[in-house]
Amino acid sequence: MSDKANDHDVIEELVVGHFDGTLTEAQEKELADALGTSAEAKQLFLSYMRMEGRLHSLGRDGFLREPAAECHQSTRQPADTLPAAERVPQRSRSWRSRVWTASTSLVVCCAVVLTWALWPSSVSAGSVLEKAQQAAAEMVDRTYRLVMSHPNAEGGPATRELTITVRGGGRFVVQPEHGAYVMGSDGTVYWMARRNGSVCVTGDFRTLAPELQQRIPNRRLLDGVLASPDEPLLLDISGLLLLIERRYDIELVDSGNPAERHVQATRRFGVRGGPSVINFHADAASGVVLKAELNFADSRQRTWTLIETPTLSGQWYHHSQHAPDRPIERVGAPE
Amino acid sequence: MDETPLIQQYLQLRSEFMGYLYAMTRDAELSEEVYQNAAVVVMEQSQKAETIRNFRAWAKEVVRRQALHAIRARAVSAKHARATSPELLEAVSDAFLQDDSEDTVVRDEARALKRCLDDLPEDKRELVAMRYESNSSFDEISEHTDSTPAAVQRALSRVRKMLHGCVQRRMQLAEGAS
Repeated sequence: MSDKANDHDVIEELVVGHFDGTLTEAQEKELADALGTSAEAKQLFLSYMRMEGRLHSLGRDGFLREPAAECHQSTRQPADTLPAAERVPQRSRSWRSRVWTASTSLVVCCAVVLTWALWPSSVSAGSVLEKAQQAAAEMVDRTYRLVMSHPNAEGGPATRELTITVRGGGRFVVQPEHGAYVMGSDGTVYWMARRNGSVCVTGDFRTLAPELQQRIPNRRLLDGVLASPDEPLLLDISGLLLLIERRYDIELVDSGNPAERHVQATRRFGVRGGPSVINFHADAASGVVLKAELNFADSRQRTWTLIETPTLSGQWYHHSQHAPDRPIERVGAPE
Repeated sequence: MDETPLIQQYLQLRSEFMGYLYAMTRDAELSEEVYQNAAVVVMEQSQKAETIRNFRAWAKEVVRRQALHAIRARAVSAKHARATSPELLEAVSDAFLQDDSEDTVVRDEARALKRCLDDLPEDKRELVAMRYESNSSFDEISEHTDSTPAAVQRALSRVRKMLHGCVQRRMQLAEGAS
C-alpha cells in the first residue's frame, strides 16, 4: 500500500473513531493536527460529517429501515449478522440449548394449532392494520374528536379538544374547541387561518412553523412541525397508521366484540419519541378506525373517536370555505 | 440574494448542520436541541428588517455559537465520560465554517447515500437503523443482537466506511459520466 493510501486510511480511522467517540486524547490531537494542516483530511472529515448528519436526519424521519421491515418483524437480529469472529461466544449453547429449542418449538406448534382452531381465519394484526390503512386512504369524509390530556401542575388532567375531519389524499381540517384558528389541507396546499386574521397558505407544511409559533408559542408544537413534514403533527389517521407500521410492534387483542378489531401497538425497542403504546379499534368489515388511544411515557394521552361520517364537497377542505374573504399570505415554497 | 424564507433555507441545510452538531456533541438529542434553538434564532431574524447577504455563512455561525454554548452548559455525565478536546472542537468548527462545498455536490451526495443505503444488505441496514433511528448506544444494540458492544462498534465502523466509499464511488461515476 502506498504512503498516501496509508495516510488516508489512518485519517479515516480517526474520523470514524471520532464519530464513534472512541478516540484517545492523543488520537484527538492527531486528528486536530490533520484537520489544521491537510486539505485532504479536512475534505474527508467534512464528507463524513455530512453523511453523519444525513443518517441522523433519515433515521429521525424513519427512512432507514427497509420498506419490508414490517410490523411483525422483531428488531432482534440473528447472531450471524455480525462476523463470526465478533459474536459473543456461543459454546455454552450446547445440547441443553437444542433441547430447549425443541421443547419451545413443540409448545409454539401447539399454540399455533390451538390459535388457528379458535381464531377467525386469516385475521392478524398486520391484516387489520393494512385494512385500516386502505380505509383511511378512501375518499370518504370522516370526523374525529381528538382529546389531548396531560397532567397539570396539580397533577390532575388538563384537556384540550379538537375536531378533525379527514379524507384520503391528505385532506384534513382541524378545528380546535376554542376556535382561535382553523387549519387544514385540500390535498395540494396547507393553510391556517387565525380568527379574523389573514390566511397563511403554503405548499410545504414546515413553513407554517413560524406562523404557528407566533400563534401558539409552544416549543413542542414547533418540534412536531419540524420533525414531521410528512405526518403533520400526526393530525390524520393515515399518518398515525404509517407511524405504527414503521416503528411499532403490533398484536391483535380480543376486543370481545366481533364487529370490531382491536390492535395494540407497542413502540419498538430502542425507538425514541412518540407514544409508547397505541391502541386502535377498527370496524371489522370496513377497516375504518373507530377509536385510537395514544399513551405517552409522560402520562400524556391523545384519544381519537370517530363521531360522524359526513358527506362534504371536495371544496370543503379549501380555506375559502372556512375563512372567506380574508387576505391571503403565501409563505414558503411555491405550491 | 436568495428570496426563499430564512427558515426554509435553514431547513434545507439541516443535514449539514446536524452533521456538524453531532461531530461537536456526539449526542443526537443534544444536537437536535441545539438545531431547534438555532431555528428560533433564525425565525427571530426573519422578523428583523436587516438583510443577510450570505445566509449559509450566517447560519453556520449561529449554529456554532449555539453548539459551543450547549457544550459548555452540558454537565459531564456517564454518557460523556471524557469531553472532546477543545483543540479538536476548534479544528472541527474551523473546517465547518470554511467548508464551501457547492450545493450540487451536497445534493448529489445525499442522492448517492440513499442509493447506497438501498444497496446495503438487510442486516447491515438494520444495524444502521438501530444506531441512527433510535440513537441506541453500542451497549443497547449489543443486547439486541446477542453481540458485544465492541463488536457492534466495529461492525458499524465498517458499515460507515462501506457507505462512505459507496457514496464517493457513485460521485466519481457521476462526474465521469457528465
